[in-house]
Amino acid sequence: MKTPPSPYYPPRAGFWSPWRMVWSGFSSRISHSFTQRLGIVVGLAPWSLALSIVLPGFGFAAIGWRRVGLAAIAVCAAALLVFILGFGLPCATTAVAVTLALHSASLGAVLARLVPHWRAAAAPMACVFLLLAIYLPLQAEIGKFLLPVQAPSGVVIVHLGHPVRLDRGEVVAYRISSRAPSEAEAHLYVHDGIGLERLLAQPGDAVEFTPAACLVNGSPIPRREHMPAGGSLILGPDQWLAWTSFAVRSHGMKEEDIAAAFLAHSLVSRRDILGIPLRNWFWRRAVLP
Amino acid sequence: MNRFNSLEFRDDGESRLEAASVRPDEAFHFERASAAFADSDFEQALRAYSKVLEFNPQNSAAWTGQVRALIELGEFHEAKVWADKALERFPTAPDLLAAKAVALGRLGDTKAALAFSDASMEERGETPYLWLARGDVLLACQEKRAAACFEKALLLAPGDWLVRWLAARIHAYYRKFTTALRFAQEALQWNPAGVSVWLETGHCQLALGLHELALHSFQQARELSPAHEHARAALLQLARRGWWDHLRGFWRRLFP
Repeated sequence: MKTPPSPYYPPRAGFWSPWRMVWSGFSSRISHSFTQRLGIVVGLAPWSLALSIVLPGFGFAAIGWRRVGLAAIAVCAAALLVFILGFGLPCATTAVAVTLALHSASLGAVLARLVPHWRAAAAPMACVFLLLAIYLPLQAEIGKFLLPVQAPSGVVIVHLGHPVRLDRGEVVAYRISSRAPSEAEAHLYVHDGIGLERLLAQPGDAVEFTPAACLVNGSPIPRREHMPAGGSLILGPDQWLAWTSFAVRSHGMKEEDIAAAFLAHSLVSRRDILGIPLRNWFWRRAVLP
Repeated sequence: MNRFNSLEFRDDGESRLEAASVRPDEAFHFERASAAFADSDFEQALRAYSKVLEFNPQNSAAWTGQVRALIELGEFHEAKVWADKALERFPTAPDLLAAKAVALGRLGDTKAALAFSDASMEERGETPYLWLARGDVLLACQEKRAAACFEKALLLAPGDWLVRWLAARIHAYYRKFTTALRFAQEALQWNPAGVSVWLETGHCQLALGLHELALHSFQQARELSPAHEHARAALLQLARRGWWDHLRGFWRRLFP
């Protein structure tokens, strides 16, 4: 006969107990640090912790290393200036690396003080956290507005966005994408990239190619490399002509085939246009085509 | 744990008592529960303490014993629930308050744990367990003062292997294996025939990567009690250790 359970037998853990144990173990290591040790760390109020996350180098000052903190903040401020002024140049990348290193080290110092048990992993954890929470989202945000493009004459900053009106003669940055080659382009491969060219013709313009010149609505413009020797076309409502300058490595291809491929890639639609290059970025003057 | 573990069968001791026409009473079950607890058979201890309470629900030591057994089994949430139930009957029982403090501390609620530990110390009476529980809570808080609490507990129970064994178990829970091993070895000096002490010593040695010593400890435990389930399980665990366990043991010895 089955013995009835004793009313004095305690409730027992269910199948979910191991998961709850994992959480308990985690929280028991963490909770005290954030409730008790905050008071021990010099001046580390919750707002101070938040500032350590947001402001690179502040973490050192938050745990009491005021001089180190001030020096780190100064270096990070200088690095920020270098990043802004040298946007797109290698020095800007170096400045970001320096800022991230100092930011991770300072936040890591705070974490090490809060959770001494994990001090060895504090700086790497801080680095991963800052990358995911601040630096990569910030990079994505900047990437929505500004894009540095490497042109033959140097780095040009492009202000991203579709301009309301695009006239003949304007310089634009546009996307060059590889596409399925036509019969004529059967042996031609074009790499993806970004083009930075002046618009030669706008929608509705009549373009005629002759051996001596290229005529846009009858007005001649100088011939560019690999332009067709003959033929004409009228640009559609969403077509601009921006003669693309490719570095060509041909192996026995006919000039007509190369010219046809150039023409195909030089007809740009509004969807491909990324934005307008800035003529000046602080003291840097862009040399545009 | 399988589904039949909690069924309450009458064991041989109880049957023998009936055969001798001695009726098991509260004291008998309490003694069995304490023995099971000291033998690290916490499931059996739980059942025996519940028998004690069937005889006398006002036995606060049995309630405390159940909470402590649940804690040793790692069922901290259940220990807290059961401590709350017990505290409805004995709201000022110091050991019960201390046991709840331990459960809370291990659940991560260190603030409440400290409050309950303070309350337990304010009540009259000073037992080694109060100081062990205090030390447990302070270890959960990563406080250096924890060591002083364990010293105080040992001072209150000179020559008591159980207190040293419990101190070893607490330190092992918080992964302070070198200190745990020291306490376990002290407990061995007072109770060299204690299977649970040999087992605890072996587990600490194993955690520190001292495999030969751990093997010796587990073998001693099995010699003392060949049928002891934990001793067999420990030897099996030792046999299954891989390179990762060796590396972890080496690391713990370098950075205790």
